[in-house]
Amino acid sequence: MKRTARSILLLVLVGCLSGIGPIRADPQDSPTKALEWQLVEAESALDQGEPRIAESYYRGALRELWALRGELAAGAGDLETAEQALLKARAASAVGVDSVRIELAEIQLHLGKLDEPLKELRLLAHQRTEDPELLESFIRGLIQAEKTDELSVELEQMARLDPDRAHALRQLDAGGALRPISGNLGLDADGQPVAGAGHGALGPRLIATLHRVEHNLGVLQAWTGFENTPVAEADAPPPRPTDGAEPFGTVELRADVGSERVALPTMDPVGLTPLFPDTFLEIFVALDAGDTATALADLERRVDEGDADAMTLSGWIAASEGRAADAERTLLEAVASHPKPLLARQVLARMYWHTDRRAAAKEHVLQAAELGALDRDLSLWLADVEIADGRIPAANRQLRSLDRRFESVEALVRLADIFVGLNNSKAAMDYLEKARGLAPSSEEVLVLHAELALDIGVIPVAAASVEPLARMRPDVARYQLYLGRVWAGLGKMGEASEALLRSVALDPELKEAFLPLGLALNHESRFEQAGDYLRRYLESFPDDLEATAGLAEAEQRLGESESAESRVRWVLERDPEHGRANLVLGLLLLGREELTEARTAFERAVSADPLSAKAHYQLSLVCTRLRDRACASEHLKKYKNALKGPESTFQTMESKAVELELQKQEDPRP
Amino acid sequence: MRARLLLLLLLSWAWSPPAPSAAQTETGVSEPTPKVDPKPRSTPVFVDVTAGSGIDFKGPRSEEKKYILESVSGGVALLDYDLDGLVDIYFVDSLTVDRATAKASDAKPGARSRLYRNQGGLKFKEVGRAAGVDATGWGVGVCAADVDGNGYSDLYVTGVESNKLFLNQGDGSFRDATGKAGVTGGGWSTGCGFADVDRDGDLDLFVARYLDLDLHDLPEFGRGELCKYRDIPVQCGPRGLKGLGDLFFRNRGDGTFEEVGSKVGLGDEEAMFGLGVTWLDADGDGWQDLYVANDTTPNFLYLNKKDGTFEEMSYLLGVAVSEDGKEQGSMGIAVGDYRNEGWLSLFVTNFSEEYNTFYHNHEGAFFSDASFRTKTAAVSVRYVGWGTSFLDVDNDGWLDLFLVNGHVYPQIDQIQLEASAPYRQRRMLFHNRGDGTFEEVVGGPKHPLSLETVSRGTAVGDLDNDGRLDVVISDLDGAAQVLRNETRGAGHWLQIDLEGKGLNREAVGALIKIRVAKTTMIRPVRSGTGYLSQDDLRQHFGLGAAKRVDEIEVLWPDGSASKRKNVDADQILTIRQP
Repeated sequence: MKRTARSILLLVLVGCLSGIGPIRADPQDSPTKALEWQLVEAESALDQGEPRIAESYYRGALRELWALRGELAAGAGDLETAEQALLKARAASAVGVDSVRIELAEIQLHLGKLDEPLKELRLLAHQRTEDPELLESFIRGLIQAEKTDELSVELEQMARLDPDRAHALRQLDAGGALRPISGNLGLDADGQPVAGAGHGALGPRLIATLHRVEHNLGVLQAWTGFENTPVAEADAPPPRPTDGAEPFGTVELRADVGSERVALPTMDPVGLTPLFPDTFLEIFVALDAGDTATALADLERRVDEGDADAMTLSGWIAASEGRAADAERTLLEAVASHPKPLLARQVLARMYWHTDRRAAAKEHVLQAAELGALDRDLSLWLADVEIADGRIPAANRQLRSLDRRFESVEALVRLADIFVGLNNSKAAMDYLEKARGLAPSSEEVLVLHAELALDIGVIPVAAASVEPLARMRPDVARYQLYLGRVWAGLGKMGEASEALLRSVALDPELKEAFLPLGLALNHESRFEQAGDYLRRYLESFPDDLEATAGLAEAEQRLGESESAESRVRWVLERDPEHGRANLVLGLLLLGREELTEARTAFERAVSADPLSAKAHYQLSLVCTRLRDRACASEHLKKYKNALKGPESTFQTMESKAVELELQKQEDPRP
Repeated sequence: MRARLLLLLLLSWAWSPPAPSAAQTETGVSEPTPKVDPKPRSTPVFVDVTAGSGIDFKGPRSEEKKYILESVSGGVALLDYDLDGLVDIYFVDSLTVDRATAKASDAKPGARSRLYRNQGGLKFKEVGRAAGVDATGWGVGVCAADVDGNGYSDLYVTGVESNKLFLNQGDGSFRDATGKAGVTGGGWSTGCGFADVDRDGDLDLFVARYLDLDLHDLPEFGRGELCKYRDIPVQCGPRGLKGLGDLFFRNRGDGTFEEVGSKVGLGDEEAMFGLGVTWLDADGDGWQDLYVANDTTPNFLYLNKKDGTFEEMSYLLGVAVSEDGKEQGSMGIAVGDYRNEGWLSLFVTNFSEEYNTFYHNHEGAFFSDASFRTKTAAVSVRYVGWGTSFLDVDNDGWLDLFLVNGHVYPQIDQIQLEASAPYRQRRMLFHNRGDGTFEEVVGGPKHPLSLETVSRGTAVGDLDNDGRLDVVISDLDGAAQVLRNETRGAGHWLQIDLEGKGLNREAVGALIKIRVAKTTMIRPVRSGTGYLSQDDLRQHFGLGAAKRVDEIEVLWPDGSASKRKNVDADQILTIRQP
């Protein structure tokens, strides 16, 4: 694992362990400061001579570090790394932690290792007999190992605990193992793309074998050949037909089947009838068999007989083939003749939606909604309409319902967006956290999660999404900017400036990067470069106080005192308590031997940022020169304490991790 | 009015080092009167004369530098060990871990330090074995001073396992007096320096120490987060490893010493990672103070309390950390009065992604971080600095600044960082503009200053007695180099060789002040300079256009003073303590 990732993880871990938790409710509370305080407190166990507590803390830290690493590696599909990490996590525990043991076993099963993980899962499952999740893992292992006798016993047990889950697992047993591709798609034992449900480190779990999607409905053929396709591409819809027709039918087929995680367990064994009635299934079966002519002839016959389902399907096919007039006519007939034209109205609505007949689309959607649950995309569309119409509560209800029914990532993203608009960052972050859990590799979700976390200043949380983004797409300037902001927030300015320099190298006009880059370079004593970037930032944002104070800092260090003072005075006119500006002013006054005034400025700097090592240090120096020993001593002490902030604690953590690893070598634990 | 101005200009041209003005600038540093021409009238030039000189020292080389032990050595000393008037060169040899831990049956060569006798004409002959100063074990640093008062420079060599005191017998040979003198030390020792801290007439010895390591149980390369640098596995340390306290040996005056570091306040109880060491009178009270450069930890400034004890005052005097309050990875130290104000400022070389710190001495009361104001810092951020000295390279009366660089991780070449130069790094010479700032002298691609090496120790002295200061460099991964100063049009000069009384015959700790017109220049006589090295004890003054020094005043180590007036330039002058 790269140091960048490991370091971020460790820092995230430090943040979590020190009580920051995944989200802080108060976005005004600087995470860095909170982190520092929490870390100092955490370290107090050592300071207070409690080595056993400290050891326990560090062991837990190490275990969690490796567990997190394993989880992320698994999420990225790097199962070998995941296994190694989880082995270390397990070894770091004085007593094995079940979650780690289970996850390790699951990973090993995916790697084709059977005996060891089955042994572990068997042991755990027999200890925790009421845990369906654990039992499912064990059963999946048994299916993979083809241990049929044991499997039937355990499936019986599962049927008692969770019948739906047992049912799905029987399907899995029938359909063979599923190899994850991305999202809710997987490959079955024959290498065919199949739909599953659920996301996460181990990919989808099979719920229903999708009808072979390469039948001859034209655009549906695009769904073949997903193997090894990158996530972003795999998640994209298939190419649109060149004749201008909207391929909504094909998209919906995949999406409806694939993501109906909640709905599918209630379906028939094939799992499709609620959306695709018998008529459809028969047609599909014929298509699957390659007998297109029979299938279409059968369809036509049924339409002629007044079969409303057949009309619906026929209209749907017409729509997917771009025959809009035929489609509309047939579907309207289906609506008129079907006792419960849920699907026909939905297909119609979608067709109107894609042809910008918004009012007609909305009418059919609302009527469909009265007939039953809308499919996911129409629900989303309706929510979008509600949002556009300013009916936020209605949209909120719609999206929450979507979330409940489908665990729809799109719904969660929209909900987050709504709550950002309502200035409820915590709720927004909750939704994005959930979305990230459902789609850990989704670039869109990671970006939104990262941006929100950065905006509200929860750096350790941001790190969890920024790190995979920057790793997966190192060529995206914005992700390097995010990474730089994360490093800066964690006090790792060297790494921050490297990432930010990469971001501006990738996109020299990425103005947002100039300010954090300038400040990071200031911190790294690269004042000339810092000044350049801060000046460029101020060209676009001339009233920015932080950039102005940062530029003044660079100028002060380079001996450009006059300009520096002019800038800090300008900042202080607008914000007399500005920490950085007061610090720079203090240094300028100190240089002129105006000791009393310098002291006042440093005191203001300390007041603005009580954890600023530099401010305390300078205040101690000026107090020394003013012969105020008490003040000098007090701030020297505070300086040293401030210096032990996240950086030193991070180093202590690293050091302890090394020690523990060394100890483990000497004393391997079971 | 214009004629008067012209006359003033002419006068100032005739004697270029200007008198300082009491005027205060915005930076709080008094601004010297600007020079007529702030640019050097002669471009400093060094020429690599190693080839054919007989200098063939090459330290041991481990390609990967898997252990920090293999990255730190490199002391070099300039001393006239045989009093023939020519400065000789001593290189401290080191080892690799493989060689140090090899079984006897493997017969890998041990360390062999070298003494090169200067035969004149920049020709040298290696005489280390014959002189008895070659067997140093895994050597690290060196300092020189006449400890036993026989008039000949002795050598103290620090080592990874133990140190050596070689007493010069005056017949071209040295004898190992370590055990008898009680200065073996032990533990990884680095910088050292002699000084008469209690004015009892004999020289005491300070030895910095670095890490507490067991050669046979070293932290594994690249293992764990502390043994990685920007993603790549590297040697471990010093962070995360255990440091060692420092040693101070008080001279009993009978050829033996006792270690009293903790008793006198020099013991470094927190066991920082000590490297460079220098004695100087920081507060101008006439007593020897001590500055220690600590790696990745705060530096020390011990003020002499005049009762044989010291008080560590680095934080309150502003020389522990940078202006930002950051602890730096400090290595070497240069000491000099770069503004001709009568106070010794400090220049400290540091690790990359930091900057070399220039601590300006405010009349002994405190120091301020003048690194960027002096224009020596910005360029240093990407480099790992080591050996350094102030020297007036063009004899214009202003102290210039030389330093060498080189990373500790060869693996850094696997990545390209904005923040750091590659493993091999160039040297730096900063020319003093006489206005409180410096300007880097940049050589062409083949200039010795441009040569990219992994240098450590440096020592400065006039090897050919031509009045221009030369430089010797010890390289960690290659051959040592001798850079001859061939600056054309350099100013007049004076070198002063002090002869003290009693046991301190080389007057270590003395301060020489010279006055030329209204300008006063000072030079301290220091044992232990730069990075684990020793500059020539003779003190050099550039005089610009002046052909005569109006007055020389020597403040001798015992507190006495002597003066001499109207001394001709361009000579090496010996001054004996009255």
